[in-house]
Amino acid sequence: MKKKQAAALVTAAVMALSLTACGGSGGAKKEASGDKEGALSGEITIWSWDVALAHLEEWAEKFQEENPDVSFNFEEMGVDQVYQKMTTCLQSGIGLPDIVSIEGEQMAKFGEKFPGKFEEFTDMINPDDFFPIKLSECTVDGKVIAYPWDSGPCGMFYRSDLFEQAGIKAEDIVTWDDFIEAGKVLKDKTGADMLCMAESRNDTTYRLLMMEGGGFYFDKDGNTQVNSEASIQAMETCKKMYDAGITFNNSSWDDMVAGMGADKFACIADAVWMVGSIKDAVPDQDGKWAVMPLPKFQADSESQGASNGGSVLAVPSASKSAEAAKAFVKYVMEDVDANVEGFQNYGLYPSYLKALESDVFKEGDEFFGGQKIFDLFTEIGKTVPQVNYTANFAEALEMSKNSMAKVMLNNGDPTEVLNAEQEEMKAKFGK
Amino acid sequence: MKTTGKKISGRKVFTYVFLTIAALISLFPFYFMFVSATNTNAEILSAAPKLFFGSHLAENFANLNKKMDLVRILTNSTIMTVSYTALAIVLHSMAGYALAKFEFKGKGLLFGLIMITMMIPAQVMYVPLFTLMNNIGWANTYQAVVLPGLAGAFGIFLMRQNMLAFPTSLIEAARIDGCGEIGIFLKVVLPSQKPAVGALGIYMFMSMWNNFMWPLIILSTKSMYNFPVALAMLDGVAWRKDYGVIMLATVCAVLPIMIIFLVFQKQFVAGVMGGAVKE
Amino acid sequence: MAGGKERRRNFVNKKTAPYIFLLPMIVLFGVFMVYPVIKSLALSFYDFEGGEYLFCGINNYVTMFRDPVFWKSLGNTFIYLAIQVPVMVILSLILGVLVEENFLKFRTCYRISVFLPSVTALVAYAMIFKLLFNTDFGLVNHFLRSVGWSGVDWLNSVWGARAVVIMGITWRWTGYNTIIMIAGLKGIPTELYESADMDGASFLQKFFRITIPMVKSIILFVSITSTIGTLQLFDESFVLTKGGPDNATITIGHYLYNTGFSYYKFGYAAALSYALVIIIGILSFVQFKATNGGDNS
Repeated sequence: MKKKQAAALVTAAVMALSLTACGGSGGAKKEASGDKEGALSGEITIWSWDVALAHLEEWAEKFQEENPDVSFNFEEMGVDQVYQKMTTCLQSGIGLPDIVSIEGEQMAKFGEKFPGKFEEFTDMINPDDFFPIKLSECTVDGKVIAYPWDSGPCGMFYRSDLFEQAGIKAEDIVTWDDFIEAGKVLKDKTGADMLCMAESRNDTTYRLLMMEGGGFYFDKDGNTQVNSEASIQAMETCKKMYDAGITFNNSSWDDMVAGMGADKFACIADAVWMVGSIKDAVPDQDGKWAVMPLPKFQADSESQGASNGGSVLAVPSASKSAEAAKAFVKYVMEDVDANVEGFQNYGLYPSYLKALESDVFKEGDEFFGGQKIFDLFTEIGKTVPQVNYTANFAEALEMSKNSMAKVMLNNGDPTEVLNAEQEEMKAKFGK
Repeated sequence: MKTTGKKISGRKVFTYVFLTIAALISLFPFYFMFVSATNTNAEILSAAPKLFFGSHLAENFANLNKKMDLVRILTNSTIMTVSYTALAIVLHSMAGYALAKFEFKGKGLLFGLIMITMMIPAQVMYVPLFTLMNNIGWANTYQAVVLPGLAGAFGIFLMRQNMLAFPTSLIEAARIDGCGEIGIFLKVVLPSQKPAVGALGIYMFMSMWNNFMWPLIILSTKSMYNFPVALAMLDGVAWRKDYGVIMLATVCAVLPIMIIFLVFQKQFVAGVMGGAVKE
Repeated sequence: MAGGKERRRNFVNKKTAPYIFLLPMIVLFGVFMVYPVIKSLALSFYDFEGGEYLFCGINNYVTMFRDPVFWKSLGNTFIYLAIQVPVMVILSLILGVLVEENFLKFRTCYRISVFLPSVTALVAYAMIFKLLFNTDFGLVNHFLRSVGWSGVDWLNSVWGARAVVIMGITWRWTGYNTIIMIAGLKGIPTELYESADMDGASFLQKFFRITIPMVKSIILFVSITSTIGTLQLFDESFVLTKGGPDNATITIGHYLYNTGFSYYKFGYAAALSYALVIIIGILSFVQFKATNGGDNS
């Protein structure tokens, strides 16, 4: 078993190297992978969703050109469905796929709750090739058990036309206080709200602000710290914006999209994948959008970036074709062309730094008035500090949503609410 | 029947008004669903939603066809639902009859146990059941969806409650006439239970047609999905949802069962009208 | 005489018949109910940690009593129960009686209309309700605004969300219970009404003196199944409101699902499910006793 794995590793490494190096004509590679010792074969079942699945399907065909003995079987399902099925399958050890898409933040839960059930990539992956935050999503107990894929560095999307109408200059907004003051002006002049922020449906705004201040639900060791200074500061800022009456309640994705179309708000603080969503939702607002970094808490403080979303690929150990599956994962994740195409065709923003150096990411985007937005996101992505998501991320997220609701809807005091949340989490998570 | 004219007309007005309002409230969401299936996403999510049929049905249908194999899903749903309903009617009637009209050792205990299972949330059983199905090689099969659902107390309780009212004297009379126990059940008792069987049949039919959680867990390939699972897959992605397409898919899922119900309704009424209960 | 028959049907006779009739269901219950339920009970004393089940005694039950979300979900469930079940039982009885009125024309149309919601798949009806009750773009608020009221933030306020859940369940299940009521009403001998008519009884008198006593067992049946259904409620909370805002609409069934299938605390989820079993048991017993067993004597 070990020998086989080692052989596969070597083959995969060689192959991936040659692929990234020349990215094309396959004569030499065919010989390499056609070698009897290391020939890849087997049937690979992949569970994924939406555009990620479509992209993997396209690259599976290319992979098959080099590895004719590998066959693929794609199962499309929604994110929730993937998790539901993973739960029962991991429990019984039966029916697992060979490759599965998992949201980055959720990976630690699978890794911690089911140790040893996922193939390790520790020796296959060069940690310096990826955004640090994405690598921490894939790492459990010091082992890399998934491959980082698309990433979610966050910025502030804003409507340049509405800003102009209200006489606001983006470069004048340095701190969150500036942002709130500008918001009041905007509301006054245009009637639009400054920021699209959920009051209870999600905790994105709070979580991004918390990460920006260097905090998270958990510390490096996975201990709860939701009443940390960074966390309280984030919640207080959210409340300040809410109390100023400059927020649009993001009560569902559809409401947000509809609100966008009806000019109900000017800004969204979220990840780079929002680029595609905005273009999809409001194609007629071409040229009216721009991006800036998230405002800071103090003008002179150094801001850390924030991240939200993005997925990873994992290979369950129960796979009968684990070698081929791992080779395929590395192949797609570390091919510059694959990353570029995934971005161009489906808006999957890579976490693979070599791919991010491609020209596509240096160009201006017409929809954003020609602004070079992707450069900005890449720089933010590099600054996002690593955090420990732990097995309890999903539950912590749920509890934080409720804290948002308590603070916004019931006018709760941020410190008190977060102290209570800290106690509840400690009781439930035991740390 | 003839009381004062005033009273009757007051009652009539109340009855018609009440029933008409109830019918409108019941039907409106369906109307909205049909209308939305012919409109675009933007029209559905606008500040003044469209309440009239639009012209995008063909477009929505083309998009839907790209996303799911309607014929296959319809076949799956039909096979599972019909076999489930037929089995439930036979087995639950038998069990209900035994519990209603026989005295035997352990009857109270057995009935109590069956009733207790009614209180057990289905989620409790999914993990052990899933492992069991995989161990006997039934994962991703029709029987894996159909059989566990039959182990429910509802149908047995419904049939028992209805059969309690059946006169024991008729059963005794049939026994004296030399009729066998199975014969009594099939020829004397069961024909009198058409309304109850109808109610049970409708319930079982729709619960399997709409069954979601368990099929989602146990069915692993697209070619085996039933309608709710296929619908959820369509609805699974939070962004780039097209409500026109989703509503059309909903129409496809609801329409067959609506038609079946209309057909079944006639038999149901006929069974009731046959007056079997009072024989 | 009896001996002769028993010889002819020595296998299926009055003594063995009930067992034979029950046998298939007993087998099904054994395999697909008793086994998984016992297995889950065992799980409730275990903690799922690091891929293994570790015995933890009654720890899960202790955690449960201190868990604010558990109590909140319990409270929500009882709010639904207290409002929704009586409303639905009364509505379905009234509808059943009215639909069976002798003078009624288009009876089938009414019956079908009222029953139709219960054939709708969950995903379908939840999607439709979500659209209808949308704060900014929903028809319900559109209507409220057009008659001069300000709209309600239905799905994002505590009582708005609860109201939508309650309306949703009522919409979906009333027609179904009406059909069960009709099945019961059909069993009432018409002679009873005829003799009451001769005595000059009014509609309401007949309703309270004949109809209700005669369908008592059906009313009990509907009440118990609705109570149990409400306690196990999952879909509506899950799809319509995601349990929010701030757990205002979460049900025990939904919290149980989150705990097990979202947070992977299978042992704790099993403990929650057994708490649910006990609550349902107590309530059903109380209901059964309060109506004297419902058997007409």
